[in-house]
Amino acid sequence: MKSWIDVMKRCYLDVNLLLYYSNPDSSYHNQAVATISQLLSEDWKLYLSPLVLDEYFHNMIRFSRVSRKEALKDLKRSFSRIIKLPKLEIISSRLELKRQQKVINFMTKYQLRARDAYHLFIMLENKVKFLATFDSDFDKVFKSGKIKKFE
Amino acid sequence: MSQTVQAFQLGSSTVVTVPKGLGIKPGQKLKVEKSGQKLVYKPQKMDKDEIHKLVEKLAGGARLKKDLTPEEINEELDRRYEEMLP
Repeated sequence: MKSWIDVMKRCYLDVNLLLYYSNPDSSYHNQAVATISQLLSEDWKLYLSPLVLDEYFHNMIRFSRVSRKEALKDLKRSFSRIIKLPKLEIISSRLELKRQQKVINFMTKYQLRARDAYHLFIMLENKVKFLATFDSDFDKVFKSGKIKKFE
Repeated sequence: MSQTVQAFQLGSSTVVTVPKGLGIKPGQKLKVEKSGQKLVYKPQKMDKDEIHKLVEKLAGGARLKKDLTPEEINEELDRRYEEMLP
């Protein structure tokens, strides 16, 4: 049985955090490094989903300053580093069709984009209550207390 | 979980492999203790400095647009979704 602490110290990583972590030239880079350091020092478990990875892979190419060939090399290098982070796991939602309706409920209730509602769905399906992010898209959800922003 | 593994010689060390399912990552430090006939491997906790050094070491690797904002990332993903629409 999962203890309360096991459930509490679980944090989902948003794609912007990963992109800034991989990009040393970003003004958010040090903050991204500090956030991941803090999470691991405080014994949190870190979670990604295939949806986060799809966004990461796409943006790593889309916003690259080098040729596509070089960008793919960068992606391979950066991702191979990320997966060496301790306590990092990949999660997904259960594949029961009926449960996917929750995504639409979240879109309606919190006025989220489909993909953001899907992130929320994956988090809640896996009892992940914290999100590490740099953007404000989830502010309404944070206000509701459904999940919390890791700060 | 119980599995049989075979030790082998590597230089002057004897290497015991750990099945992947046990979740031990390459480079992870383990404390080993002998307790009677048993060998007990315990993951060694890193201190704050070690964690920070590791996180810094694993950062970077990309050459992205310098001033990329969270909003731009969202706009790009929105654009990608819109392109998929008929």
